[in-house]
Parts: sequence; C-alpha cells; structure tokens
Amino acid sequence: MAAVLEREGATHPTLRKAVCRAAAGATDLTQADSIPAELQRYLEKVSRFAYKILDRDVAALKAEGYSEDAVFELTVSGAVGAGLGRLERGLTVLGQSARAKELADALE
Amino acid sequence: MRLNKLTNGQRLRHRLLLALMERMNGAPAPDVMRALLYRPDYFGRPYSAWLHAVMRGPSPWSVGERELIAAFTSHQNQCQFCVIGHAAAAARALGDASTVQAALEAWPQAPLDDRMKAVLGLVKKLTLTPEDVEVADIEQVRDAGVGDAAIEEALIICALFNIINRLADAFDFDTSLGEQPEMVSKSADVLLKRGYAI
Repeated sequence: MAAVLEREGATHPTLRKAVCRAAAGATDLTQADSIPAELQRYLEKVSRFAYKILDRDVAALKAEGYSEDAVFELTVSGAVGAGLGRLERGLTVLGQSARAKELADALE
Repeated sequence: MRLNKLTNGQRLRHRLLLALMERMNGAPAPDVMRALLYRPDYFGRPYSAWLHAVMRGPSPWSVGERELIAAFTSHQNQCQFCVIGHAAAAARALGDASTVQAALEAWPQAPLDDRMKAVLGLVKKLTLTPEDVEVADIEQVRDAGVGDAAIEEALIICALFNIINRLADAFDFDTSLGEQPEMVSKSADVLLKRGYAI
C-alpha cells in the first residue's frame, strides 16, 4: 500500500502522507495546517462518515481546481489512513493484551 | 460515480476486461471493479491482493464467517454498496441468509456462536470508536474462545473494509444492483468463486 503515499501522481506525496496520518487519527483533520481548508472539510467526511458525502462535496473540490486524479488520490489516502489507523489501534491493544496475558500466566 | 475517470478513463485493456467480465458473469461489472482497475498500481492491485489473501487464504475463520465480518463492518459504516454484496456472499457461504440478516440488524440477539458475537462487538467498536478500544475488549473476545491469530485476522478484515467502504461512498458506487435479487445472487456466486484478486 506504500504506492498510495509514495507514487508520483497529481498530488504531492507530502500532502497524501499528511492526509493519511490525519485520517488515521494521529492529528485532527480540521486542525491540520498542512492540509488546505477546502480539503479538510471533505477529508473529515471521508474519514468519519463517508456515507454523508454528496455530489456537491466532490464538485466543490473540482471547482477549487482539484483534478479528478487529485480527488481520487486524496480520497484513497484518507480511506487508507482511516483503515490502517484502526488496524494499528487494534494490533497495539492486541499486543498489550497478549503481553498482559503472558505475565499473568507466568505469575500463576 | 462522482469521478468520470473511473468510468470513462480506463485503459483499453481494462475496458476490455470489464466488458469480458460482464459477458461471462451475465451482470454489469460492479463499480468497485472500476475503482480498483483505475490506475491499478496506485491502489487497486496491492489492495486487492491483500484482500484476496485475507478473505480467501488459510484462516481460523471460514469464508462465510469472513464475509459476515466484512458485511458487518460495512453495515457499521452505513455502506449500502458493500453490505449488499458481502451479506449475500456470507448468506450463500454460510447457507443461512436469516442469520446474516439478524447479525446485521441486532448482532447480540442473533443466533451466532459466542466467538462470532464477541468478535463482531470488537469490530463494531474498532469501526465506530477506535480510540476507545482497550485491552478489556480483546480479553472479552479471547474469553469467548477466539485465539489471537483469529482476532488479528478479524482486525485486518475490519481495516480493509473500512477502506473500501469509504471509497464506495465517496465515489458513489451504484447500489441499484441491490434491487435485483437475481443479480445480487449472481454477484455473490462470482465473489465466492473468483475471490478478490484483480
């Protein structure tokens, strides 16, 4: 999945990485200075409630000058961030739980 | 579809592939295929390869159970497109449509085994409030008899569907297939037979 963040495209990898990190919950999307304001509103929807996205949300980005490829890349980056952020959270807690279980088993 | 390029910007060989798929399956190619085939090296190919390995490879969960976790995750995200396809695949693989429907509507009361109920609880929390997932949530699933490898698999399925659910809704994948039960059934058969690799 590294290509989503690193491959050359219509948007700069730095922006895609910022979007991915923010969607993963590492930073507040609406406070992320590295992400333009018009993108923050859209990506907040992608990250938190994509089912609320409307035609006009995508049309607004196009009107701001974002190409379809740019919208594609930024949407994918946000979605991947949201998914992988959840996986990281789940695996971290699973690891913590496994270590706690090992310790408890050792003390028995 | 909100991005015209996903429909009209496909390379010739992908247009031919979509047409071939439609002819072989006797059903319109789902929009998800268009999103995955568009610039496939950017997202679709690596994502599909991972998804196929997780959903069809060796696993502590049966194919039907994995499809149920996928449908349930999609239901939490209110992603109609993904719920239609994966609920149908789960129903077909498990041979029990009513249990799948019950799991989506009210999983704690559904006639599922304790393992599946526990893992669906974890999947729901990880999807809706990931920051609230804590060690006690994992312990609850483990206490229900789910091993750590199976928990990890469920977490990955949950994560992968959290990705595609967002793309389905952001790009506005066509859900009209859901109004044609025969087409839904045919798509479920194709998904079970061919899996996810593109």
